[in-house]
Amino acid sequence: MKHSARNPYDAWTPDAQVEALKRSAYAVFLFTFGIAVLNSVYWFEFSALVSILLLMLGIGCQIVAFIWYVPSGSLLDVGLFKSSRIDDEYCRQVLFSAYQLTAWLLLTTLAVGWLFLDKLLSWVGVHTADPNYVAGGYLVIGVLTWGSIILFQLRDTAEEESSEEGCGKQEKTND
Amino acid sequence: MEEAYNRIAIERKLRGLSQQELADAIRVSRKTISTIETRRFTPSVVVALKLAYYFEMPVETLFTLTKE
Repeated sequence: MKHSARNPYDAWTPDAQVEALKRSAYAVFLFTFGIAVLNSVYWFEFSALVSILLLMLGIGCQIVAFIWYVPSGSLLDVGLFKSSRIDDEYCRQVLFSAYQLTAWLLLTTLAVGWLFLDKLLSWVGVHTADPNYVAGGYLVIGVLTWGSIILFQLRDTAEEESSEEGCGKQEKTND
Repeated sequence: MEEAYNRIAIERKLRGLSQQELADAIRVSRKTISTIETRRFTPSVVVALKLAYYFEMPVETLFTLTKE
């Protein structure tokens, strides 16, 4: 078969890796939304019914995110010393820049938090901060940054051709 | 920082290939080809050599440091 991307016997193609990365980013967004919903139950005082509904929504989001993520193929054949199955060059570059920017943002927010978090919390009116919530906040920031960068770098631009169009196809139709 | 210019889009169109066909031929993603063509991404030596071998031309003809 000429196009390996369409060959079912060679499914983990570079284009499949691009799709797997996009799918992972969407799953991560959904999972983080679930975490944010669960955190909101603890942060704010809702009625019992609303809290139960929010808990169900948060856990449901995380389950759906996991189900959405697994078929991407990213989890297959991942060993302790093999961090990723992604070997397409552009995908690796995207992953590198996502991890790099996420690390910088987390370090910056940690430094800002170390310097000003107590003042910020007292200004808001909170006198004690549960470390779980602070860690949850950093998790949300880190994951949202990672997913946003992945999706931004893998966005479709006007210069790109779809898989069906191309000069070869145009020539065939002209003939 | 200096940027590398390339003739990939020109050579590809001269040969009547789509981005997908070129990507399949050298075993990279279509996104890799499109981002190289738009200079959002500078490929490694390995991918540059694969492209040069595929187009049967020297790599320094395909990639240059000056705009033509």
